[in-house]
Amino acid sequence: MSSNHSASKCVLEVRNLSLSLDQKTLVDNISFSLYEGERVCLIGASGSGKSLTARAINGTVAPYIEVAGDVIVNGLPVARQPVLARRAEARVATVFQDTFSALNPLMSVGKQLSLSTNIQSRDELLALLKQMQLKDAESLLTRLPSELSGGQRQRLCIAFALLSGANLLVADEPTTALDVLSQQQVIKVLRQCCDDHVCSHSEQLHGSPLSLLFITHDISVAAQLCDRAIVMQDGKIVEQGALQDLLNAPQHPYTQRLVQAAQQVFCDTRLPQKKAVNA
Amino acid sequence: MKIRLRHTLSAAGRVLDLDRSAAFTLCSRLLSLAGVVVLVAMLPWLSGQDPALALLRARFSEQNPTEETLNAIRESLGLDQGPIVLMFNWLKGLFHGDAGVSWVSGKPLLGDMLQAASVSLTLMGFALGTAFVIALLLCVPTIRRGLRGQAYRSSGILAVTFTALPEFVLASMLLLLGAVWLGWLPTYGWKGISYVVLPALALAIPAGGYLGRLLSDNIAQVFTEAWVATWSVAGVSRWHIVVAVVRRALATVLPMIGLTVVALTGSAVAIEKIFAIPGIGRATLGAAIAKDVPALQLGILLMLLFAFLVGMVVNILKTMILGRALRQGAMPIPKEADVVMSKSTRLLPLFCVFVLLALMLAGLPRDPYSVEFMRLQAPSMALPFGADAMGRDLLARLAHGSLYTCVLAILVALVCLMIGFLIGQFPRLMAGPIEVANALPPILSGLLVAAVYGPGLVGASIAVIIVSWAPLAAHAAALTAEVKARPYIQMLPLIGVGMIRRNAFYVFPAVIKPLLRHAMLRVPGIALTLASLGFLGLGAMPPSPEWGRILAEGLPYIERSYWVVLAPVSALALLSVLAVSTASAFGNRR
Amino acid sequence: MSKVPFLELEKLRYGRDRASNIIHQLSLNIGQQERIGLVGESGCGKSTLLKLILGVIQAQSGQIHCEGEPIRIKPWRPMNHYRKLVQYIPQDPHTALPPQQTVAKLLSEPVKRLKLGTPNTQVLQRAIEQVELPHAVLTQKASELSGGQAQRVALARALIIKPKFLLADEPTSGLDLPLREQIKGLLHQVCSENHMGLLVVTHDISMVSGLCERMLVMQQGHIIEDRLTEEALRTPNNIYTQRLLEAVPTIHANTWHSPS
Repeated sequence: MSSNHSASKCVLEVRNLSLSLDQKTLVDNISFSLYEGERVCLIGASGSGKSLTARAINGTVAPYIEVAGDVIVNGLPVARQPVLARRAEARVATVFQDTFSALNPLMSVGKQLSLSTNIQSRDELLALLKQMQLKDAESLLTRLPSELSGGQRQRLCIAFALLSGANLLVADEPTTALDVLSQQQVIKVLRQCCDDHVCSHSEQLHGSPLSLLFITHDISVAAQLCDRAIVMQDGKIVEQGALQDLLNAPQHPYTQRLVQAAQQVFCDTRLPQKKAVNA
Repeated sequence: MKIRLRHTLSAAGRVLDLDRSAAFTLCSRLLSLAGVVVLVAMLPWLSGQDPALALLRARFSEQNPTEETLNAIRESLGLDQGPIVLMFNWLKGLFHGDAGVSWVSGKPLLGDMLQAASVSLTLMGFALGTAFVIALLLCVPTIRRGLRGQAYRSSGILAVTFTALPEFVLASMLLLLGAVWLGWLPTYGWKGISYVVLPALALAIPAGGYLGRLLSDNIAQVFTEAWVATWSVAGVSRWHIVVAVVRRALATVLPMIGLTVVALTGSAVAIEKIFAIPGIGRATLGAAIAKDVPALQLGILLMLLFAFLVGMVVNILKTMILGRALRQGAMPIPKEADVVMSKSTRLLPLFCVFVLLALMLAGLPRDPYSVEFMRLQAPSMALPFGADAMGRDLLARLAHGSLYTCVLAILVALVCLMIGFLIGQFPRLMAGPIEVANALPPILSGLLVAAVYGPGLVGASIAVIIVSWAPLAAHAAALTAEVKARPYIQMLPLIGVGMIRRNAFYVFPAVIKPLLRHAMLRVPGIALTLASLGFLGLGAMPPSPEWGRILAEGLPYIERSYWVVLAPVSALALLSVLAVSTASAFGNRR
Repeated sequence: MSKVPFLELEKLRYGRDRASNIIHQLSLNIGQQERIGLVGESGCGKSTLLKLILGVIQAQSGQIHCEGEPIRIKPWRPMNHYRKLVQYIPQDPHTALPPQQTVAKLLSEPVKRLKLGTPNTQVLQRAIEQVELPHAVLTQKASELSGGQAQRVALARALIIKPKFLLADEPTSGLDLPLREQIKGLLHQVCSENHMGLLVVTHDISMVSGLCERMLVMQQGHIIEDRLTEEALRTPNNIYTQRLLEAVPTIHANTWHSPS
């Protein structure tokens, strides 16, 4: 795995990043890197600082939070740069947990999408929605975000993220607020995007594959999408490595608890079916 | 056939169910509007005074006031027919373009009043134009900061202070500066374009500053919403982002814009008085003080009409901006802003309180009533603020006045809290009254109360209560609804907690604390309103040392001795800084 | 089948208005000490059904019988007899406990209101032991508790009433995986110890399979599957249940080297 890294390009590097609020450290000196085409998940309980880390990466961290250390996206240091002030190469596509505020509430989704300079024609737009497995695209485009279901909104947000042509996608608990069926669909779409999508938004990055940073508290959701995991607890990284290794030989007590629970869920769900097979 | 019928019926039922609450609110609104009109129409009867004698003296000074002649006058005015007939006659007259005759001059009112209204509208037009320019200027830096990704709230103390001054205080300051010290512009009257500048500025600066601050705070807030990040990453141009952000912010602020424009009608009364402009405000104020009820009726009616029209325009604008999102009820309320509070912002209200206390300590031992000095004596060590036109110590008067105003303001705030809490329990029933009271400028309510009750401190307090309970009631209603919807309250019957116990032990404690804080935050504002009523002669009567009164008494001497105005203006300015800084320093905490 | 079921729901109907039905002519029998899992998409009416059974909202038509006796449900009327039989634990324990009250106070409230005796220290301590929390928690305010602690306190408040049946509304949805497993284990334990029935509303299939012998699947206000959990998981009767099962995020079997 590590030999792979040295060969491919580093998309995101987080170096000694600390975030604090009123002298209270929320993220404590964390470092990690993400290489081209990688799918990494950032796992932790609520309050572990994983969402805040995501905000520092995509440039939506609140102004009153103190940022120390470096975030380097495609070679550009952007730790304290808000998203609006960033150059195109340093912009990170983001999918948020709260789908409602992630789209403008006063404008139909079709109009919002077509405002993007990266959309040339209506056919292109419809093709994009088809890629998101959104049915009935024509009528969908005329609706306001509030007239859609959570799952539909989240897939539209992914469409928005892809429109940017960025080579890094940060997904901040994109499935937490959804029910299981929509959850499944969103994961499917995300996986497909990572497989198919190549970056288009600048000469320099043209043709590079999409990398994913997936923030979640659910290791079993992460396992469907990611190949590497970073585990956070109380603002620190406590363990990182290939997800497969992590699941089979967790080192840190928190990871062990996490994996044990996932195993229990696995047994609970699959055993009746297994029994059936055995019988 | 039967099935189809049932289907239609149930569909109708669904529409009814959905619209029931909306219809309820509309009903409440219309009823309360009608209530206000009826109140105005019944003013002659409500005021309970007999105008016959006054009329007789004014019109036919040679006649003797015999019972016969008095009765004849009463009959000619229709005062003997009782309130209902009186009301209908007045309304009928209005439809035929006859608004009655003045009790004082005996001349028909409508023509003169419309003339005055056109003067006021001209002034208002200039003021509104200037206000919008000021508001836009205040928003530009916020938008530029927002596009650079630094969405902070504005916190320029100086700007805040300047825009927080009540119009009558600002007008006095402008008069001092522009007309007396610099001599650039005329002081009083209405003879040409140069006469518009100072009054329009006095109206526009507070309104424009307030709207600009409100709008730019909202813009800064909207810039932090997630969709702005989504859009900017997706390659939407900056221009489109700015337009969408402003539209979103405007949608939230629009009702406030309407209220501010309506409030200008009230402020215009004071401005017209200060600058001696022959507008409708001054005419109405004069009518209230002279007890010329028909003139007062017409003046108030015209101002209410203006308020109503503004409300309609705002609603149309809102529909245009929000479009389908309005019908959907899909307007998410912007989240409470993450305010970055600097230390100085937190210290400012404390500083104001400190200065006020110092003023009281220095002035309370002195005598505010006795005439010990020369008229308009200049300030000196022994007499720090100088003497007023009667030779009374201004420092003493201000200190005693602050005690007066503050204690009264706290009492008024507590009464408003009680009324607000009770009415807040029936939000839908009271939606109309809350709206009307919210839109009613305090000076209008002061005029109404003065007409019924006569000018005085109690009347002024009632007038302020009439308009000040509404924001508290709205807050109480929102809080109560929010608390009752909390899951732990909803599930209380499961553990055997009944309705009464729920309200007393679970809902009330959760509601009263934030409400009390809100009421206390309003104290400085209420004090200012009381002062403005005093200034107009609708509040405290001489010789009581009320701040607005002191300012009004000093104003005629402004050209000779500025200190009679400077001292009360500074004190009032301090109070308004206190009002705004407390609200912004403590108001947002939850 | 001679035994009277604990709860009988008979043609319950509930809707916001006359035309829309959130719950549609729903009938259901629940046996003594039965443990049932109720799954379905969000918006299928499962939380509404729970509230109907709890009697905090009132059905437009239909009847609920408890131990053979009809229950007249009027929200905000004292129905202390029914309250003592049926209790609930919430979805989000933080919003479901009065934040300013201490744990001791909020645990003694139902004891006093439902007249179950005096809430002395012993009673409170036993209640808090039952959910495996230290006694020190009693003096803490509800708002100071962590998510897992708060859910345990909510469970303790239900258990202190000694109900015969417990309803749970997505009791673990706000918690992370290890905590979820703990709460699941705890629910299993207290139900067995107290001979309590359980109806758990969830979208977590593992919760149902690990806890409940009977499984209900709800869609658009109807119950479309009502069978033993094991059977339902093995051979789902309809396509919807099938999809629901497939959508459960579990780690692919190949991932584990040695599944325990």
